[in-house]
Amino acid sequence: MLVSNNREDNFHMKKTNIILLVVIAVAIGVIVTMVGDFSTYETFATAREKEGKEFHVIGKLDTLHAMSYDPTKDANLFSFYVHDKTGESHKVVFFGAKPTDFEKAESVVLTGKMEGNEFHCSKILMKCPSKYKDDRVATSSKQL
Amino acid sequence: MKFVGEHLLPGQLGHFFAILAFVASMVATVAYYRVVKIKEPALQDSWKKLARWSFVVQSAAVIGIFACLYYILYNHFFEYKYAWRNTSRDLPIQYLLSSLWSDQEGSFLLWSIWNSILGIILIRTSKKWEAPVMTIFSLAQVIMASMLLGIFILGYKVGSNPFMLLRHAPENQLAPIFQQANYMEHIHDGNGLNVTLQNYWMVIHPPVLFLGFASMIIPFSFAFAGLWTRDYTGWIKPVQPWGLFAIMMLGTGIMMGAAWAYESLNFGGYWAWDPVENASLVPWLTMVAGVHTLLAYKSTGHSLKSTMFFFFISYILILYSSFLTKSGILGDTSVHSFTDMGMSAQLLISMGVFTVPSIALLIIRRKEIPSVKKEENSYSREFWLFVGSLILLIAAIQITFTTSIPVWNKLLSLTGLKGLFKMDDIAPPSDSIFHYNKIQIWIAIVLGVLTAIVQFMKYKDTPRGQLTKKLAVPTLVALLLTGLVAWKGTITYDNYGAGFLTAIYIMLFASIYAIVANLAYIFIGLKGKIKNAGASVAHIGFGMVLLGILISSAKMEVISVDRMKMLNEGFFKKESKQNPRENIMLPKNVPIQMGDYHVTYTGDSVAQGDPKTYYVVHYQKKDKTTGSMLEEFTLYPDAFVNKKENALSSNPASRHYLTKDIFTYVSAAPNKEEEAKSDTTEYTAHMMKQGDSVFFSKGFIVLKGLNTKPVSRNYVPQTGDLAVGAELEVYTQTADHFSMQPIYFIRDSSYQYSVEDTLAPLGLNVRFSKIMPAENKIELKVKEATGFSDYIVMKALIFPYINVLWLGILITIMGTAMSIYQKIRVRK
Repeated sequence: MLVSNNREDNFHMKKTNIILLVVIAVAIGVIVTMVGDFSTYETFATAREKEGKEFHVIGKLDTLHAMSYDPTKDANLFSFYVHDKTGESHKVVFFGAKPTDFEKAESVVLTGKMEGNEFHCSKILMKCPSKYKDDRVATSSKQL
Repeated sequence: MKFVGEHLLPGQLGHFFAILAFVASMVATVAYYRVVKIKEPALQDSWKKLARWSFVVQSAAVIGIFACLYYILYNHFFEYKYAWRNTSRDLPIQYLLSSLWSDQEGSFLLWSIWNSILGIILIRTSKKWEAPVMTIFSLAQVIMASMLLGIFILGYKVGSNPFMLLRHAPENQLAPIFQQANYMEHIHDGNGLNVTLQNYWMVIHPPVLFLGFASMIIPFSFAFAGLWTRDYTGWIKPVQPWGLFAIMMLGTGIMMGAAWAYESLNFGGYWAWDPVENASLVPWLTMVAGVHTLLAYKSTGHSLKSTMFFFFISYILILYSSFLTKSGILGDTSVHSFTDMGMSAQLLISMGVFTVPSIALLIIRRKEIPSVKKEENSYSREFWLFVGSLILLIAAIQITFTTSIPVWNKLLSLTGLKGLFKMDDIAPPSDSIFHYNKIQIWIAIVLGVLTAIVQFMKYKDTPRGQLTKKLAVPTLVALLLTGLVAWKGTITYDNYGAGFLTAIYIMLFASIYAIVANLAYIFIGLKGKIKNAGASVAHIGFGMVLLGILISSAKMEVISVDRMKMLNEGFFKKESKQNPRENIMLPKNVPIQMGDYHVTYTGDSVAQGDPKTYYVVHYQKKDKTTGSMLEEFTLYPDAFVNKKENALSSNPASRHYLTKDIFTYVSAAPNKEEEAKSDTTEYTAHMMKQGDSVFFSKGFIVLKGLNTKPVSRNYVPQTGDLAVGAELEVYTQTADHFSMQPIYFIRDSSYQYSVEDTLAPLGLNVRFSKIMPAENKIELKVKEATGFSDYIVMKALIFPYINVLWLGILITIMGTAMSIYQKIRVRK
């Protein structure tokens, strides 16, 4: 009697366990496929070594060079210069309109790849000092 | 120094209320805890009285904080940093509330208000569960109040005081202006509210979202109360409507955010898998799972532990999402998160306070939690409810895993693993939307099919044959409808290959199946009893949401594609995918073809007292063969124009149809003052024969032929004239083309004349200056004005069948509300 109860219990455990195992397996499978998608943060130099592959580059605007956006020539071409973490400055080409308040960005995260000496990016994420606003620009320009 | 012109009272009062809320909620926590622990009725009663009063006091204090802050914002007291940072004098009054919750302190305040209101409702309704549930509520309020303290405890700054004076802000303390007693005379206006937040959705989306956040604590509290007081089953009945309420409010809040994103096009659509969006979606998924396992438990006794787990994890994930968005950790990956305010530790502690006891107690007492020994039958509803919940859990895990990339980076470097393995920081996938879509589409498929089938199953066991019999008709209808939509709808979204397109078609079926089968269930399963149909209605809505997402994303179309430049650089080069050329330049008064429309920018306008500039964009749709006008409308996309920097903050304008929305969005406009330079360009001469073409910057001109009987407004023929017109066709960046006819004539056999033709919108001037009969050529002189004096760069998108999504959301909310009503009615 006791034995048979145990056997039923074992069987019960098994089925739930199987589902859980399947779920865990699927979850692991999903995570493994996902990790393959993950990108890395690179500098211009390291991105050039792997030319043609997409990376994220974090940098600051290089204000020594002018940025250019002339919609009368091409409404989808915006170029500017960026210093990466190592200080290396490169021309960055973005195929789209110039993002609003681009000049105010404290730093930028660029998603794209090196093409020759230019970094072609498909996405620009601007980091401003504060959410949706810039405290310091205002403190210097408005208070005095 | 005595400062002049400050209004200190509202701030001091507000700060007092913040401290009062903190202390009163602590008293409430302790008192409610005593009520749970003490068994003696008389003592219990006096503790309960104290607890209730303290909670009421803290609620009043929270309202007091809100009132003080609102008063400060309303009166433009810019000596307060919060007012200076988030408002300005010209801010329309209706957006004062959006500036109130645009910063971290305000969002905590909003959350705290909802906690207080829900707490008071629970005090009145939860009877024997009041004490344990309210212990947790009060504890949550201690933490909320601590976020607004802004005082130093043992050298650590606890919370952030929304009533901080501008001159006390760390970045300002040394500024020379604040060394003057009359500094207020120099501060005339505040920083203002970010223009993207000046939208009516931003007035109502945060309150609803935070009500969703706040209501998630109720299922958590009941489950914890059950574990804590060892009454493992009594909490199920009262919690059920609250669980539904939580998913309804959180879901509504999330989708209102989506509606804002859609209307302001901030994310380029309604959903972009931004970490901030994901962080609030995940707890919703786990709570939906919990509500379903709860159903299984109520009818069969299975899945009680999973229900507790889901309720716990949902609130923990809410706290995690608040940590992600408020600690600044998402800085590199999200556009919409807050920056660090030095409260990361506090946010982590608040997460720990709820995570550790709940999960620990669940593990320690797992053996005491009643469960059914008998195995779930594979033909039973409870079994598939459980499986569906696990699928939702997988969705939640996947989204959390990728959203948490910055957290993994932090953990890897904190544990030293990063240094050990010489790892680089992980970055989010470069194509993050597809990264999520390719996994979530399969989850949506499974969920859609389960939503269709599971209602037809019975609890415990479904007689074989009955399921197939009942499902046969809905399945067939769904298959037919899918075929019809596939045939008529021509979904050809092949950006990611045939595999993904296949998944799209399967999802099409799954979502239609969910709609059809649940509709059928109302009649077959419930015999048309609408009272009990809440779940089915909600599931129909869910199916519509899936369908709406699928169709609108797969068939979303950018019509403002700059084809001219595409041809120049090779449309078929690999670049073309990276450079979708979604912006197009519209010179003033030049019709440009976009999709089925001819679009003309006809100028901009400003109105007195309105800071925005409105751009007038005229759409026309003509019949291709007859040329008769089919449709005509004007859109007014607007933008805040910062003249100094020539920066534009645009809001789209849209035309809504039943079956589609057309969006127009201005991405750039010229600084007209700068452009208004004198035109000094010269004519350039071109020798051409018939069929030759000459390029100019916006297109090219083709010499079609010569006309010996030219007619023109500017040319009045006289007898004896020898006149020739050059028939020119001008092709531009779109399919549009124009005709020109400059004329050359000889009068009185000796004088040569040239009648110039101009194409004003393109700034094009053409002269027919010479005929060279020997070479069979003519000379054309072409001049192009430098730049256009007026133009806009715009984007136009069509979202088809987006209304299926919005309607689906409304129906889901309605169905959930029906269920809540039914659950409450039955309880009474």
